[in-house]
Amino acid sequence: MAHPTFNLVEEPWIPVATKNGNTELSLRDLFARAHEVKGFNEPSPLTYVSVARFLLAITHRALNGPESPDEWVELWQKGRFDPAPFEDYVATWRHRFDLFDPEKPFAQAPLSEFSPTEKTKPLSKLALELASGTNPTLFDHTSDDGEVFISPAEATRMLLAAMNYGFGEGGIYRDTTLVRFMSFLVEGESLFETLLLNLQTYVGKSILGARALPNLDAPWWETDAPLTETKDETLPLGLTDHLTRRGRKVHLQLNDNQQIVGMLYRPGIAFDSSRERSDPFFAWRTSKDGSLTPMRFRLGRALWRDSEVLFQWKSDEGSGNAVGIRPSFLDHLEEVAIAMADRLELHDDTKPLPHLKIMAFGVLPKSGRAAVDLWRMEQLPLPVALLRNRELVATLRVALEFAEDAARALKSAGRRLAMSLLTEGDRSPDKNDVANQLSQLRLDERFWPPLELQFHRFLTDLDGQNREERLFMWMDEVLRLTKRAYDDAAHVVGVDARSLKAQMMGLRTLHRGLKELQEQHDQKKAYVEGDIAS
Amino acid sequence: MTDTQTRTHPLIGHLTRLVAEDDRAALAALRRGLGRPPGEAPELYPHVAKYFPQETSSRNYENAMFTVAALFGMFPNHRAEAGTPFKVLRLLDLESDSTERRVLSVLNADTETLPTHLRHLFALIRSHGPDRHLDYGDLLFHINQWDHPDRWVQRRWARDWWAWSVPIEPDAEPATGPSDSATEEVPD
Repeated sequence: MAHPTFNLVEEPWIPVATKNGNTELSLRDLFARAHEVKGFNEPSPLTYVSVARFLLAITHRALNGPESPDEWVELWQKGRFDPAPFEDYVATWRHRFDLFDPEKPFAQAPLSEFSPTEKTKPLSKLALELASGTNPTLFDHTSDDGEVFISPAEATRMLLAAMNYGFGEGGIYRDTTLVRFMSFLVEGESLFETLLLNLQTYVGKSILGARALPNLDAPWWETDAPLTETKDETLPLGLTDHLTRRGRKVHLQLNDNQQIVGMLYRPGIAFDSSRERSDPFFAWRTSKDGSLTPMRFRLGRALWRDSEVLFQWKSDEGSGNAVGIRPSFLDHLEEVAIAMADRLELHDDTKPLPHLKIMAFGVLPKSGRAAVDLWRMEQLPLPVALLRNRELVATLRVALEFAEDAARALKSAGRRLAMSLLTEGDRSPDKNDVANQLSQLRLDERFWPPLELQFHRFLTDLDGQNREERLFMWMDEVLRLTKRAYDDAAHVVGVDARSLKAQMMGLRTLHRGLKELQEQHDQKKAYVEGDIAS
Repeated sequence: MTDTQTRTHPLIGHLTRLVAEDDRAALAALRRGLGRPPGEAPELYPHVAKYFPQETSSRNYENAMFTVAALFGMFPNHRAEAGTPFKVLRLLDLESDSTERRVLSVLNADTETLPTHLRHLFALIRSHGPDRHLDYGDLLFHINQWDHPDRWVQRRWARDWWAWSVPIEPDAEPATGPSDSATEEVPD
């Protein structure tokens, strides 16, 4: 039987959504049709972001740019990729994109680079979503004992995800680039727009700050760099090397029917993602002690509550006002927006930026374990004005603090209700019982999810003209939802006299807790109404 | 706001006219309803029955009217929007364990035992605040709604006792007022 081949340049493997339905495209077709494609149709957030980063690397290399925001704007204006540079690029490197090449299989190491005694591992190890060993999930029942067949297209996507998402398990394995932290991408209205919006100024130099030698950056398939198992960290050559870092060394194994049934799996090239500005698609939060840590998903806390980090005003970074560092690719987006505004003054036909979304991808590991609790993809509207307008960012911060203060008042009220309910005579209730009663009230569930909906509206509608009015409306919503959340929780406690008493004691606490927020709200209302009247 | 601007239930209008006319015999007759199940004191019928709702027959509503009439005989101080009995109690500053127990008893009462508990409560109010007023129109509505599955009346009264400083949100409760069609203006 002839040796199998699956070349990513020609074979369809990238799942996309088009106006005619869902399909899979090859590399060649993807870049030729990116303007017709709505977006990726990949249900796994980990695979989504991994494929996107891989494609961004190719885009930068094929274009050898964009070298400036102005050049970016010219690319944007075209509305589609010129297929020629992409065709040249994939033709040049086609031999490195065959999944089953015996010498240099795509994203893998050849069999000769593994010990003859290396044991086959289940394919499920490639994807954190699949059940394997310590990471059971709800979505798959693949067991380590059963044989799993996956298609070459699936294997390609899983390989790309595995390079980015693998836990350090102690011993020889280290965490891969993205596994512990949140990574971001911006989405446009087509795949062309999405790819372009996530590009950065690129002149072949390293932009990760590690080195500044020109023309040194390249992804692994261009350099023939070996896929070595390194415990010590290797700094990337530059952006595209970083985006395509192979955190694991894999070799896919076929059965007699040439189906992919297993793999060899070893550590890959190590990199410490936690250092400051290690990745242009990470954001960093300032801790109380002033140190910076990359943002990560937190259980019970949606992304939007920390969105002020995403919109951190660049010149405030490092100052006492800073809450962190926004992803540096947003800095490029800001520059692009300025370049676009400049162009618009001279050319009426300037195609504006569409309504953008920013998406966050990642996993929530189980505490202290190399296992996934859950994986997440969240999105927020991304008004470009927020990247450029300091007052809007300040308004955003006020809005978020208002919500957090209201949540604290709500929690205090809930605690008071719980304590009153459990108090017998002069005896104070056991604090564990109070905590238990408080959790049964489910105040967070009643408050945060409906508020998130309102926040999306607030963010979408916020602009330089209306920020005071929007802020007032936001405050109004927060107060209304706080009171409703308390009411809804109180209603389920019970309707006998003692329960009613407890509810009213909690209500008093809520009223006291919201007093200052109510005053802020009333002041804002008076200001807005005065403004409207004048 | 003057009383001529207040539209109120015709029963309440009638009861306040008894006070205005100083009809002590009538008030004494109303008091005969205290301590007896609603509708079992014939002395109340001349004052109450003519205001029964015409379109529908509601035993619950009729009983509420008897209860309110009897309590009025005991404490004949109505003013619209004066508040619930618990609000009046709160204003009398009678916070104590025994008052709290009385409050809890009222809240735990069902429609059958409510008249008895209210009688004790009104006795307390009368002895400490003979010049106070409460809204008998609301009281009639609240007693009629006492069995509402939401227990909104009990919540309202509980708020008046324990969380009186917290303003009530607009539309937080059903609109108070007579539940039948007839209303009349109460003269000054």
